[in-house]
Amino acid sequence: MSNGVTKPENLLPLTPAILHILLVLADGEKHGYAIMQQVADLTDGQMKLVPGTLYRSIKKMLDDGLIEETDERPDPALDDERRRYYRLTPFGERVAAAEVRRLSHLVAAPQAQKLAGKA
Amino acid sequence: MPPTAHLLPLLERLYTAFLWLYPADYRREYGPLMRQAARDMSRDAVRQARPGTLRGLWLHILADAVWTAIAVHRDQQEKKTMATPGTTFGELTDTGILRPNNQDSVMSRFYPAAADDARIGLFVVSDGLGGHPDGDQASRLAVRLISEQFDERAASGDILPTLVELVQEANTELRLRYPGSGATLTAVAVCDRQAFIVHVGDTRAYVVAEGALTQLTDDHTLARRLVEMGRMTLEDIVGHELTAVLYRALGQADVIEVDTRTYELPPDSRLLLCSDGLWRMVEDDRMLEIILNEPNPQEACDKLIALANHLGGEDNVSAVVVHIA
Repeated sequence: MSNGVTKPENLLPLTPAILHILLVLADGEKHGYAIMQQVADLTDGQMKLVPGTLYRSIKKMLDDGLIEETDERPDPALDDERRRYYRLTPFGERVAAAEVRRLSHLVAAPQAQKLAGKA
Repeated sequence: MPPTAHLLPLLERLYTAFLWLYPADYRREYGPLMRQAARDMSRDAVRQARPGTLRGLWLHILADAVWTAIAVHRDQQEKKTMATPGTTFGELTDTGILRPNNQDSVMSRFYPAAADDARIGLFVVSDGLGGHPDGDQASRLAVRLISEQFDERAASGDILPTLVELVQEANTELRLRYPGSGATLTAVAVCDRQAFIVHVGDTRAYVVAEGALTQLTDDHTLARRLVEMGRMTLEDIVGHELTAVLYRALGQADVIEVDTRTYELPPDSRLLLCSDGLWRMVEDDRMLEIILNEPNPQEACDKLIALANHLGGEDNVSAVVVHIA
């Protein structure tokens, strides 16, 4: 981990882009475009990451030690271009879990439940 | 071919122009990946062949590029203000004029130290070995591993042994991932005016103090070795072909010998870390003149690299300049 952050809670709340990237990487390593596609699938197309936001988020996550690069290789399903793959670090998993717990508590709060009932 | 497919090369060129909004080092690292992702998205949009899909996508991509370029500039500025009070730095790496790709990597970062509110600045330059496969990946991996792992261990232990340990681990990982490849590495950690230096290869660290430029590292080249053995003099090896032959670098042996040094930095001194693309092209006096006369360390890096390229830019070239108050 980097930047001296030792507790996952110190990084919370996460930006929506970083949270979604962590969630799709929880399934295993992926390259940038696969991350974008799976974030769109996960949210039924409501969250559309585009390259600028994707790679700014990836850089921050690398700097904070949430993810790491594995290697660079082609994706046989797409083309023969080499692609850089990323995976969660153990610290990234702890941060993602802490953020999911934080959001679960928030959603379970009576005020949130009341608003959900109006929707 | 779908009717909008012919627009894709034009849109990619437009995106390449927008990438110039980002800081140069960021553009070099992420520009090709961003272009690749934009190309993938466009191909999908063309395949869907719904009216307006491609136009909507590209408005989103270009607006996002403008917004994130501003944000990345701000991120970099914030990183520089995290520095120890009184310590400022600049960094730049460039492909040069003659090489097809950049195999150098640089990194500057500040970490909390064990005691009080002190911070440790860590500065690293690495040069992937030319002619070896994956030289660019090798230098990037070495710099990244050291910067990622430094923090936790250095904050709770001795800085110099930690750095040596990390260089050995980077060496092991590099041999595993990119067999046959290699990289030089010079790293300097600065805490309370103490510089802790680890070094392998022919990247260099210098100190500028009291108007003089002094090299803090020894090159691991055959020419330098012959000088140490008394077979040649320093004058003999200027421009000698053996100055380009390394006898020690990351990735070249299971366990490598790492040079270490601690150095007390005088007040108002400067550190320069650089790859051989700088010191082979630019004479010491010119480097000293730029570093002494340029109060902004980033401007100093920009000028050093511009001068190396002006003089021929024969190799990748990198510089990190640190001002110590």
